[in-house]
Amino acid sequence: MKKLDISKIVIYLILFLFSLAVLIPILNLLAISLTDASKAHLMNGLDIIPKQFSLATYQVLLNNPLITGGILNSVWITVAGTVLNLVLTSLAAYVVARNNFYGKGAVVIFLIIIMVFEPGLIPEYLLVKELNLLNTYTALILYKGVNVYYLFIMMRYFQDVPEELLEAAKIDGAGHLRLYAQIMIPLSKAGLATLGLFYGVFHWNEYFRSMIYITAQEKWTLQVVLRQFVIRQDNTTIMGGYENMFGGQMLDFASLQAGTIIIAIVPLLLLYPFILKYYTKGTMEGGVKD
Amino acid sequence: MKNVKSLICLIAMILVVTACSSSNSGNSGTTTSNGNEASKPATTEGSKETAAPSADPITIRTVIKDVSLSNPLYAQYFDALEAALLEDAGLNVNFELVEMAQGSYAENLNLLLLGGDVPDLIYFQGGDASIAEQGLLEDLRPHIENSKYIKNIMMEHNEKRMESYPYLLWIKPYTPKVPVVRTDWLNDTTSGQALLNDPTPDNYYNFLKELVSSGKSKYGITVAGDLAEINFIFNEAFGITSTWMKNSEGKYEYSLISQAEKDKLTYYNKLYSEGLFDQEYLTKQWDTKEDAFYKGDAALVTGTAGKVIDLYESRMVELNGETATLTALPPAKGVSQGFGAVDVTKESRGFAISSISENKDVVFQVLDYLASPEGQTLDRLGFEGQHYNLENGKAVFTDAFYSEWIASFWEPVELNTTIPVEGALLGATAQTTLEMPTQYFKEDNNFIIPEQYVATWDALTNVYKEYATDFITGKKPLSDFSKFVDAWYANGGQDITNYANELLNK
Amino acid sequence: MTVLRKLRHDWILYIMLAPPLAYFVIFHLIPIFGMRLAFQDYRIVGDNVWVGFKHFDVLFSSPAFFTVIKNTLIISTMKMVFGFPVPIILAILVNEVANRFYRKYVQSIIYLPHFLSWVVIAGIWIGLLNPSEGAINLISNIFGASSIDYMTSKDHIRWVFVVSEIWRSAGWDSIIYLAAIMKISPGLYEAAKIDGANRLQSMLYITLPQLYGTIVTVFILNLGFFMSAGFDQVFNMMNDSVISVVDILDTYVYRIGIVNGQFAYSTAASLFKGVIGIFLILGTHFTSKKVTGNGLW
Repeated sequence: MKKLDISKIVIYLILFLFSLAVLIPILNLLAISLTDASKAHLMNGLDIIPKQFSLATYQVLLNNPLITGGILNSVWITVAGTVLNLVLTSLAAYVVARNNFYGKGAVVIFLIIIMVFEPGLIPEYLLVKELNLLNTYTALILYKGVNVYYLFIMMRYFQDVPEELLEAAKIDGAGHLRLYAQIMIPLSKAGLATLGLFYGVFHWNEYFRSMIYITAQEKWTLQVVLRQFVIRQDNTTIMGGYENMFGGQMLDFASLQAGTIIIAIVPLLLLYPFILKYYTKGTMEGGVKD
Repeated sequence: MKNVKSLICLIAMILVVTACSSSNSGNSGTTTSNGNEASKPATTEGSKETAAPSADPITIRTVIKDVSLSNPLYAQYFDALEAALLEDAGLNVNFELVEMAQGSYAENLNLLLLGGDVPDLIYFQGGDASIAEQGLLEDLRPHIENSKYIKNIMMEHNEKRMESYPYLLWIKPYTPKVPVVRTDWLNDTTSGQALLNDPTPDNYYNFLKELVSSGKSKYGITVAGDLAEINFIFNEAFGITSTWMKNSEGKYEYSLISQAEKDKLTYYNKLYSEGLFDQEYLTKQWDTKEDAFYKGDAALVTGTAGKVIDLYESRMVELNGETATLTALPPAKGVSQGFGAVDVTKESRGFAISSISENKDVVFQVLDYLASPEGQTLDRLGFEGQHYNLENGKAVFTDAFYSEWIASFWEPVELNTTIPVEGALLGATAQTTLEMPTQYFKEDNNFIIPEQYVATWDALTNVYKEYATDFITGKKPLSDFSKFVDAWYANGGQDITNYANELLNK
Repeated sequence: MTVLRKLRHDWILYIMLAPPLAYFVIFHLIPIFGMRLAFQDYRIVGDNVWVGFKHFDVLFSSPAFFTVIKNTLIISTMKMVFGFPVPIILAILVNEVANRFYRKYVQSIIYLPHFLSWVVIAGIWIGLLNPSEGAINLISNIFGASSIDYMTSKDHIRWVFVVSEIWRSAGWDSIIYLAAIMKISPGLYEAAKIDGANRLQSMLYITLPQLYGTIVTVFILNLGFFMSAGFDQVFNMMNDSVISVVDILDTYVYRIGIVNGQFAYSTAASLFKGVIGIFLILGTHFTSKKVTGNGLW
């Protein structure tokens, strides 16, 4: 079995190199965030060990009272938003993926138009304002309630479900709702998990919209809070420059920036293994009799 | 076929509806529709005398960048201001701060305003022109005429700018970027002294060369991505004294295509090729530039005059020891000397008053108060006991003052407060950087690019950037400068030059 | 069946479609009508002023416009040609890894850069490509090549964009394909092995074909955004010496907009991009359906 060995090695090697290329800069960021301010500027792009270990950056970041609030807000928006996303997206995907109903063509064109035309900030903002949704979580949960791009992807996953399964159920008298709930959804676990991940990440990382729609400080999401630390204030126009925020401690800007990135990523890192659970092979196994 | 039909129907439908609707669905229109109130001078209501305290406080809605009442320092500040206004000026006001998410202030502010919500007092940092165009900003000149204090503290550049664009008030000293270098390094060199005495470009060259060859720094000077910063030092020395300069035929030509510019670029190229000008300046951002300075890779950088220099200095000392204070260097001397001509078309940022506000006179009185000795005391010195302590009737600053207090409003160079001050508001070097530019002040003749030329101007700027970087980095020889000039004219430069000549010869 | 009968027969489908459709109409269609701002000058007080094609004129009139469109097209094409296959290959390779731990390790790592913003990534790559200290040049020096300043080289900068984009997104994008691969019945692989297929063959003749549907879908969708080319990336990685070759439509609009109040220009540009995007999507969809039977729907 020598042939198998070489190809295996090649594959493992390629993947290893790629993962390394990706990993080192992230470890570098981690190291910078853990480096003491006095030495932080000496760290170059390939150092993965802090030159002088210091938890100061994290102490400052995590002790800020806005952080816990920010995390909770982000979690709420992410969870609520993702659930809503998945329900709406899967409903729409089911209807459009496998049925020829009257008006299907128009609906699809409609979806494509929505996907490619970005109305821009003002009309969107005005709409949110008209609906009295400014400064509410609802605005953020509903924003991009269905991402058309992901909708088409989900449609693709639904289309890959073998026809025979659906036929069998229909013969047994199942209507659309049952087909949707009891066949499509369970058999597309990997797809749903994937899109759940995509939507979740999207909500979690959403900074710009949160910044624009939420003004009350206690409602700020984590991303907005974190950005406060790394925006270079114009020091001649604000009171209490960034030194004050940190109780008089001089912190290194690069270290702060790296720290905020790490904090924002960590929850997602913890999430991914759960998703991987659904990536088990052969979800079709046992469904179709060969 | 069914699909194509539905497609056409749908698109046609959308286009028709889009093109035909003329009503604006976005206005929460409680606002009046006179667009041109700004051109009417405000009626003088005897605003020189203080009004009798009214029974109810007048609410002033304000929006200022990075200012929110959730920051205890600001909450305290505005409370103190309200109390002071009542006591000293008889004004009974209540500040209502519009909370803005931080981050992109200009964008958020734009959305706020364009959504129809126009606060009484607005701080702008960009984006004001289009708002002013719609007549929503108050013409401040009549207010200033009748003011008690403000008209006395306006500086030359403020007055000029107010004349051509009377909507933004920003009384701060003129702050160009000033070159600084470590004092100990300066003293360690022989060319350093020569430079201070006679700051010609050649002496700058010698100085940078000595710094690099003695191993102190890797390269001499660095900047953040483009030539803006280094131009502060060298523009005037090579004869670039204003944006539009008269050429040998007596017509105005754009400074960037002049012989003076060519000479300057030749000089920059020399610095670059000998490693005295950071060969990676193009990819530097403000943070990597500062890093390079603190690390010692760059011996010379420029920083905005004033508080920023203070910050540079304290960081430098913190990282490199007590001897690493900074010295500000004079701008290069040659054909002329200075930090460049000053843009007097308009303030780039500042406070504006809404022209549709019901309380605009009161708002202006508040601004005037902040220019009075009492107002200045509060705004510039901070709170007694926290930012300064009274010793023998003089204010002595605490550490908290230096680390957290910055004036929110007016900062004329001369400090005029009710309490005399011991020591300086800024470190010595920073103070020098504020005083130095005043001796070189001269007005620029640039103008705001009219709308029809905006795209052309953008293209011309890019033509310049491309050629300039190629000249400096050596990718193109300077003998090709005439090709650059031709390209500049060909890309719309001729139109703009004609326009400029028309405008400037009036 | 007549229309009415069809409606009655499928009534439940319409009910199911109602919530998402309602969402779209409220949150997307209405703002899209707001895009008529592209033909207006916005007024805070009073009605907007209709200006017709003025904004489009300003945008298209500059000589820079053609450069900008050219750059957008070139960069997008490069990213398509070189960047599109990488996630697919990654997914297929990861699928081949039998060892569960190694597979989990790789999967968990490769998608990480996606979370970094371009501000950060620009910093990382500028450091990597530094002519004197950067890793890339140090490595190529070992092999005898001389150092190149990639970030300021007009010849190389577009490649930098393509490669950094791959670095950032390939892992993340491969997730879509991995999920699709999960559906493939292991029975197919076993049958192939019995027939004597080696690893390469099973990758090419089983895994890949099963992915065609997904590949076509993703490809067509991405075409819809062909005119976008990545504003964040270009904005953060651009510098003065390479403007002429990497300035894209969005960065151009951004600059023009800053001077005169962004929204009208960016709305006009969005409209322009959207129209092109529609034609690209529909065109490829119908062509692909004719040729391969796979399309967007």
